[in-house]
Amino acid sequence: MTAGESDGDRPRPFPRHDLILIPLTILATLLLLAGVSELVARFLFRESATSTLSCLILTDPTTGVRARPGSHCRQKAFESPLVDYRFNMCGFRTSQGCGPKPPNHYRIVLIGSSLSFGMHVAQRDSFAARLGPLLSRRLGRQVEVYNEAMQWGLPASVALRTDAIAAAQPDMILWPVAGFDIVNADLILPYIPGVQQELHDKRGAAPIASAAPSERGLASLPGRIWRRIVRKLTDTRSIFMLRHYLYRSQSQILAHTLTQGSGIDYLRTPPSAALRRNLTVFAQALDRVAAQARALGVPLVITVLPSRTQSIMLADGAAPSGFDPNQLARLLRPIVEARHAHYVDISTQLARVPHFGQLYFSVDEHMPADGHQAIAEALANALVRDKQIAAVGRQAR
Amino acid sequence: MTGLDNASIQFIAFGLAVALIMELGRSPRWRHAVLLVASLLSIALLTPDLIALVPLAGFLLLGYLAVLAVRNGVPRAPAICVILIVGVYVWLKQYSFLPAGSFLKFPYSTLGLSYVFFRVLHLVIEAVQPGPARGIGAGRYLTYTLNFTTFVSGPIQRYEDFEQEEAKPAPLDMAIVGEQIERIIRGFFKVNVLALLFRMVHDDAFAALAQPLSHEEKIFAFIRIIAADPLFLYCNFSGYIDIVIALARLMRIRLPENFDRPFSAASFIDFWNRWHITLSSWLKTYVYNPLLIAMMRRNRSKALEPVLGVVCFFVTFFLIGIWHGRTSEFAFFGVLQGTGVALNKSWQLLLINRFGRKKYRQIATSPVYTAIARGLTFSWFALTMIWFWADWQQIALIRGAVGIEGWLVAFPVLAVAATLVLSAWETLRSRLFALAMRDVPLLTNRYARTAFTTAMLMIAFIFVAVLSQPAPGIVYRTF
Repeated sequence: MTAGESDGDRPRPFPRHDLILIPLTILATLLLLAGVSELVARFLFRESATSTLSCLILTDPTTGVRARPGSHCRQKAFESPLVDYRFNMCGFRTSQGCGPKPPNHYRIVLIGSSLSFGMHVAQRDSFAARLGPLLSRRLGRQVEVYNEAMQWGLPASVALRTDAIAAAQPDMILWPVAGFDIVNADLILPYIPGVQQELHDKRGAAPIASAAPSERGLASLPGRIWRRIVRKLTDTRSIFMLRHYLYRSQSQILAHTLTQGSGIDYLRTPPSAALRRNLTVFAQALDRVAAQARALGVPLVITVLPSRTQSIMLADGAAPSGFDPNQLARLLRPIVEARHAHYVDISTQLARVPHFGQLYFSVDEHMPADGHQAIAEALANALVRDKQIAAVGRQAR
Repeated sequence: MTGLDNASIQFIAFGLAVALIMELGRSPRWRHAVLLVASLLSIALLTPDLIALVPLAGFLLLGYLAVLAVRNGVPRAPAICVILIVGVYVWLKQYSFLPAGSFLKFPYSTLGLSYVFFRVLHLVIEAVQPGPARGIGAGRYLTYTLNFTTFVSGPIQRYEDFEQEEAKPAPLDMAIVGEQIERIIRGFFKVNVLALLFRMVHDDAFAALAQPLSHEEKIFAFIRIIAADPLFLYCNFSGYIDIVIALARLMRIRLPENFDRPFSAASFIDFWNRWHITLSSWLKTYVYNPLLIAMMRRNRSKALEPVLGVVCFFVTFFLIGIWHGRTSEFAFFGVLQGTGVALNKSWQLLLINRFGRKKYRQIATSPVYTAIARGLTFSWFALTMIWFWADWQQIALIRGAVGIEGWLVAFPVLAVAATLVLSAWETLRSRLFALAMRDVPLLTNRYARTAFTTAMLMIAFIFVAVLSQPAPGIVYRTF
């Protein structure tokens, strides 16, 4: 029954003490709700005091983000388990040592960003670690994946590390690219408050992500205060918990993501000017990696790792007007093929994996172990189907 | 300015501002002028392109001329005007059975037209006999038909009630203001949180039908779809109605209620007495009753009387279906509504014939019968809703995904689940509402209600302002 349905129209006395008790009830309810939800959220979603940042060098614009050789760190993000990150003496998160490739091994050097790096999953659970054994079983030969991917290993910084690719003696270079990588293609160093303040202040030639530009003036004051309140609330664990459960829903993450700004440019049709600029940056980075591949005489294979939003659209077989989950692949393929590299499609297969859209962390949008398993299988299938390895095998040194 | 056609913060702020301005003067003329200006302003803000409003203006003019013609006793005016107004409405709404070439070639707004249609038709019919509608002036006609609180999605207020509200505004005190604010927050919560969550269940389940899942998983998804949709629509529509009724009440206008806990209904006929009440009452007044009287005049056989009632029920609720939309899906939705009430009426007659009225009443009020009837009512409505939200292509997708057996399984499973869940809910609700401490109700006293309302406001604020999670628009604004 609603209030209006029992709405008495006779004037009723309003007790004076309610002028105090009603606001107190409101305040108590707010405090109780906020307190209880924050306590529950902090119990359910914990993070470690340590993170990969203690293993990473984030201040060198000549290399981009790289890991300290032989370092070890641990991180538990809100949605992930506690994960060990161990880096070999070359600074890569891979089970192989830094030395020369074992004889008769077919080595795929994996480059790229955090998903390929295996962010938030144990190294053995990453698709990089699973791909080698899968291919070995399929092909009856020893295939190993040497993972040179790095957190924030975005195209502009990948282009700075082509020497490391050569040093690993690859038989194939595999570069899985995500939509995030393309819309941030020119980023070499991320801006992390407090970590590289000094560098940020001295900004050099290399692009560094920056904090949001500050606004001034009285006119923008209400807006600034409002945004500050919203930001403070957004940073609470309660809001994180709410987002975590809400975004388990595919329709909700889709509705939320599609209202975002340039971060989803890779899905918007027609492609924006910013996306075209970023594709140019990617093409320049690809030029350098492709030149290295040619110099080494090995194939370079590019694929698109679909974001969660992309995966949901692909699985639905439909996209809202103005969005296209296949656009990125369509735009990348000619860029890749113009450089005599190979493009392999794994999105079609991933779209057929039951509940693939659920194989991501709801808020973080990296993948847990199950998602990596699906990616590894799709990649193995695609490489075998497209005869990438067989073709390379004849050329293998 | 957007958002005035939705349960948005802008709409609520607009309504509160109008209520405040109205309070600046006490004269009926002031109140009338404020309401008229606010209504015209809201339409202008909703449709800034004046050309797009020309068809609506033309429809309003036609309606007013029709009222004048009927009032002045032009021969055959009532019948001709009713046919003309229905015809123009159908044409402006571009019903799919009309040739596409006959429609206006420029884009125009039909927002609110469906509800304006009911109000105009009501005035024309009522102008036949002496009464308030007969003497309506142009200003009052515009205020009544375009009242911004009821323009987009109703409720459909009768003119005599509207005039009475204008002449004798409802009292307003602190307690009533508090109750209306509570109702606005509840409505906002229903639309922006509950409706969003039910829609989420529906959308996720519908997406699952196209995915590579097992047959059982797809049937389960289908059950989730049909179960979630009535709950979504209820929260979406009744939440919006809560807001407009409360805003109007703050303007000292009492609008009729449109919902009365419809899922507690123990029969499909009762359901329609509790769901979109003003629409079904309108149709009962202007379709069911006249039709029944006309048919009974033609067939004076007592034995046929119940059958005629069943036929009239069918026709009335079929019209409810086709009013909702201009496509064949809505026509089929109407057939299913008509079938539901006709079967329900026939069943009642059968029981009465077999057991007599007294025994029937005993049966119909027994807890087990009520629980089963409630479950069946919900399930039938839920099933018919498929034709309300889906087009034939989507229905084919469902059929392809779950097969005929999916449909055959879904209905009984839903009926059993609805029977159990709704019974449990009714029991829990009555027990919770009965909780009291020293004769003070525990959950419905004003402090408890303040606490619930604060919690709802906090959650809604987080969804809307912090998460910026877009809630689905008010479904009925498109009708």
